[in-house]
Amino acid sequence: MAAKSEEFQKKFQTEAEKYAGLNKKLNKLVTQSQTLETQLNENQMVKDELDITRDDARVFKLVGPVMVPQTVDDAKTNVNRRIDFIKAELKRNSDVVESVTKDVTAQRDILSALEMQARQMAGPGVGPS
Amino acid sequence: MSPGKFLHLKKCFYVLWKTWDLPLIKIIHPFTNPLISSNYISAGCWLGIGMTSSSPPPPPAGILYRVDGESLNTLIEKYEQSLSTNSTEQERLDKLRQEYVTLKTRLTTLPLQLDYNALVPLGRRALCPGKIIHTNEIMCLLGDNWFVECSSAKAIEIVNHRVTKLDEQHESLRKERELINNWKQEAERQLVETIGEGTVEIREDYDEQHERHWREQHRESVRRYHQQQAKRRVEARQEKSQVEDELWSRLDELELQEDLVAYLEEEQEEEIVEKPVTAVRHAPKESNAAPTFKKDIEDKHNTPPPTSLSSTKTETRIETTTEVKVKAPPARGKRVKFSADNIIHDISDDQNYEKQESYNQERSSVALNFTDDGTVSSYPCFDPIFIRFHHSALTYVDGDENDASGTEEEDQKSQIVSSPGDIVKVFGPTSISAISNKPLPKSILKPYAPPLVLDKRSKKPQGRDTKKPSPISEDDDIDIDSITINESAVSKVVTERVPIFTNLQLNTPSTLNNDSETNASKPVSLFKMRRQQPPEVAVSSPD
Repeated sequence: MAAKSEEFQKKFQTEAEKYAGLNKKLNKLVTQSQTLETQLNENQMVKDELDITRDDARVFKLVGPVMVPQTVDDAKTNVNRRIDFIKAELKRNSDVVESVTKDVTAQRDILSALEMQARQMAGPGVGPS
Repeated sequence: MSPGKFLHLKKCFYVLWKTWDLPLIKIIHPFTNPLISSNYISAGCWLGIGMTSSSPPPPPAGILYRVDGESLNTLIEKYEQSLSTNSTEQERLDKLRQEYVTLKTRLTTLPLQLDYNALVPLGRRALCPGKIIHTNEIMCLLGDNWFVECSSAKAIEIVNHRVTKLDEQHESLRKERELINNWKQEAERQLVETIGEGTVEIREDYDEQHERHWREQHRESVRRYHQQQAKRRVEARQEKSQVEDELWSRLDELELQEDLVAYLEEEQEEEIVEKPVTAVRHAPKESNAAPTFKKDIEDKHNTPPPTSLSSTKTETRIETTTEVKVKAPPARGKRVKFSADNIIHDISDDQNYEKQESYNQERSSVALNFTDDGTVSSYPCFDPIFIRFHHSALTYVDGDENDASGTEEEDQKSQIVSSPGDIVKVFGPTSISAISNKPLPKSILKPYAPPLVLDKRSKKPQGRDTKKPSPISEDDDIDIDSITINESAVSKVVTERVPIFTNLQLNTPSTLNNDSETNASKPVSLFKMRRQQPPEVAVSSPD
């Protein structure tokens, strides 16, 4: 009986760890998606501004310590490309997040079942509190 | 905690100014005086509006699961937390907005002078007198390391855009705040309820066995209920059929009466009047029972109708005692009035008798009154109202029933179209036939069948199976049952060349009496000629 409970404990432990790991992963993904979203918004703003500027205005790009002059068209295309890239990234990220959340919920169910079991094993006469 | 919950972060950008010609030193305007700072890095401020991991849990759809003080308290605490974050965000936004406003004023005033004398900071501790030149050239940071050099006016525009964006964020923050407040209030209310009244939580434990047992019982009771319903329905139907049987038998009597009357009338050889177009239609009557006339009628006289449709007399006439008040339905935009002589007030009138009689011949209309307690009483429905429609060229008659006398003359004067054939008489032939010289369309009557004769007084059609389709369509108000084929009259009667009904023989008195005389003068129809040809020609008709 004791061995069984020990075994059970170990099982429970592993499951709990798995759950924690999944949660952490989820958090990371979430923050990542957050940053992506902000970047997207930023680029959207830049795009709007560039659309308003004259075609012969002086546009610069900061690359490291250097400010490099660019044409407006170049700038526009670059920004658009970046926006598309970020969108794709965001989508991919959200898919991953979805799957991870599913795993998390599944894990949670397992854990709760184990918990029930543990409670039963602890005291079959005692009802759920 | 899903990404979808976040409100997006916004970065607000700063304007980078190029104030003099030394390329290394760029003066930035974070939120400070532009003349002071010397760092090259754009100091972007990240506005974190989204409540990321600390977003308050919205109330679950529907009621709270556990209505007890503790959980409610925690919920309220969470709400308060989120409210505080919301307020800090709002403050930050306000501050930023204010700074943009001051920047705007700076941008407007800066280019007013070509250059300004200023103390320029050199490093961290030194200042040096200098000048601010190129006052109209502003390098603006658009975001993501993109810069654009523009005039101060343009820079002002950019600032305006950013301010509007900030305002939007402010708005969304406000809405969020409202929402959270509402949730909080709701939770507080719940809290008060639970604490104050000591409400008892209703718990229904789910027990498999119990549920199963209940389900079986439920099924049984439902089954029983349905059976009961079925039984009741059957009973009702039986009752109804009983009642219906009574009524049908009553209808049969009435039919017999009519037949009797018709028979007697025929023997008396009264004038045949064209049957006017009736606007009232009823379902065709049932098949006849064996005629037993008077005795039946007397027997059944006691049946319920409050105003009896028929009462027996030594005379063969059927009288009704009801007075019919006709109320003309007001047509929209027109006044529809019925000529009084078409309204049958008292059927005992000779004048109106024929109409009524012909109507009664064909239709016995008895309205059934299904009362609440299940009994059925029958009473005559509205006496047939003969409505004469006058066209615009004719004068309308007042709808007042009492003025019957005055209006009859007018009606007689006016031309009344009482059958389709009269239309041609009154209004002339149809435009098609009048205008074009085309021959009238070929008759649709089968060559084998003798032409139909409209005869009101006659009984069932004699020479013809009633089930065969008649050339007269049902849409006409001419009852098929009254159509007979008068074999004797066939060869002699000549069809009038009416464009609409090509082979109707309207049995005016003249045709019946003066067959042979009038034959020579009138033209013979093509149909008739074809019929009189050898029978090979007439074979092709389908039966």
